[in-house]
Amino acid sequence: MKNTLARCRRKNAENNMIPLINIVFLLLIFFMIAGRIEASRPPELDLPVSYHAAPATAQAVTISINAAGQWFVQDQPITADTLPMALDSMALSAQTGIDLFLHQSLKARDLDAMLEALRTQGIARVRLVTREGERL
Amino acid sequence: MRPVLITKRRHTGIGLTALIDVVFILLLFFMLTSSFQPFQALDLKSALSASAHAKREPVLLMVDSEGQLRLADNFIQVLSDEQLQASVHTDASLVLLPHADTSVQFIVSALERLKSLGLTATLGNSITSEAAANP
Repeated sequence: MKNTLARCRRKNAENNMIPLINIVFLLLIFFMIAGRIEASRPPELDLPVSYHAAPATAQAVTISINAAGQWFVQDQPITADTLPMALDSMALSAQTGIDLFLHQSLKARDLDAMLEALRTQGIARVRLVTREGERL
Repeated sequence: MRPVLITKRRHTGIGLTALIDVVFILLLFFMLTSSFQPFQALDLKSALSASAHAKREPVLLMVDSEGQLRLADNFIQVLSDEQLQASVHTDASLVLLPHADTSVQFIVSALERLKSLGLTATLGNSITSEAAANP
């Protein structure tokens, strides 16, 4: 009698777990299909919004400028003086693409020094990464 | 001794606990690594990437601090799409000169607008108010 009761209880517990597993499986499938796994982007940057630009695929080198105007190469803080050294250490060729992450409120004058430095390094392929705006 | 063990295992079946452990771990992995924010990218044409000598004089376009496009030699007039297409020949190179106070958002919008008109522009250095007043 006692044995039968215990077996019955265990069966009940397993039956209760089945809806839970169903939901967890659905969530798993949702995140697998809807999400995209990619390299982390600078999180604190509010990127400019674009509507018709090409979808971005990650480039080898990312350079970002935050709202305070600080420069980062691959999340390492740099200055205009240390940028050539940082790029040299990566052994870049003229064909290397660079992703530029800029805070949307930065002014054109903040951009000048960065583009000038990249031109001096002989880097021609620079892309400005934007956030896809919601289409109306 | 051994046959008894085997019959015991047959009775237990597959435990759901191990399965749900693994599924939870997979779920956590996908929740934490996947991103839902789509990114786009605009090519910033550099002066270095020019492949041929331009036959025409380049057309200089200014983006003012409100994001309006103006011709650099006639900076009073704000350009509409039709005026842009009429004033820029397709074989002439186009240089976009943002005002020093123009935000990155306005530069992106201007580049996108030119792209949608079938024009590709090179981004030049920013210009100051004094330079704009005395082109």
